[in-house]
Amino acid sequence: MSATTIPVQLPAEVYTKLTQLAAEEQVDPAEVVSRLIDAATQHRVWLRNLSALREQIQRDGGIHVGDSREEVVERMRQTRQEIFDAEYAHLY
Amino acid sequence: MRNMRICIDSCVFIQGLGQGDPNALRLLTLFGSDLALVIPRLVAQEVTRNLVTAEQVHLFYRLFHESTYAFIIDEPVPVKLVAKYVDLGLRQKADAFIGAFTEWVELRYLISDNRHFLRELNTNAFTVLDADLFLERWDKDSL
Repeated sequence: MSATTIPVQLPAEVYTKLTQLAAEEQVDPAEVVSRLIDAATQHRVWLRNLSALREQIQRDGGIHVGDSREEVVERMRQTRQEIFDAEYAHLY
Repeated sequence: MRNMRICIDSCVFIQGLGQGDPNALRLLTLFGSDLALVIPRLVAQEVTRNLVTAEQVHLFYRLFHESTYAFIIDEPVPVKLVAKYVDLGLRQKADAFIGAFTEWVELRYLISDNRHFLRELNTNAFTVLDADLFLERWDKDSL
């Protein structure tokens, strides 16, 4: 069963680049477009999920690990050491 | 150069997620087909240890579950490689573990503000940059 197709008009410059990409990858131009759409969709999902996490953190009052970069680094090193000692040190 | 894989340290994650650091946040927005994120489970644990609700932790892991460009690696780093990174300047094994991981999974960059990585580590296997410098080079396409 063949997929329904729709003619699309592109600027000549865009079409040239598209066909060049397709030739380099030895695929149909439609496949190149499909991959680009997949990549853009994936990126949107990432951004949407990142925003959701940041908004949740803000609603909950933020992350309290220090006011400066240096304080954050030191606090996270302490966290790293605690987790490493508890769960990894026996392996190393 | 694009199409690369990098590791980011938990301190950068925390600054991007909750501290309002604009460059750390911008770095977090870049992950996609041009830039993949690969972190060891240890880094994920460090971040989630400092999140304060189950919903936050759920949303953190959802980032990875729903992405084809972000990965948490669970497998232990080889012992010899951790020892190598202790010898290379990361005296604390927990830090050496992160350095060893970055080489082991063949990442090009480790992004961190940890001065022990930035100043004391001496390796050619990968480059350590803070988020500011990484973004500067990313924008100039000079990575």
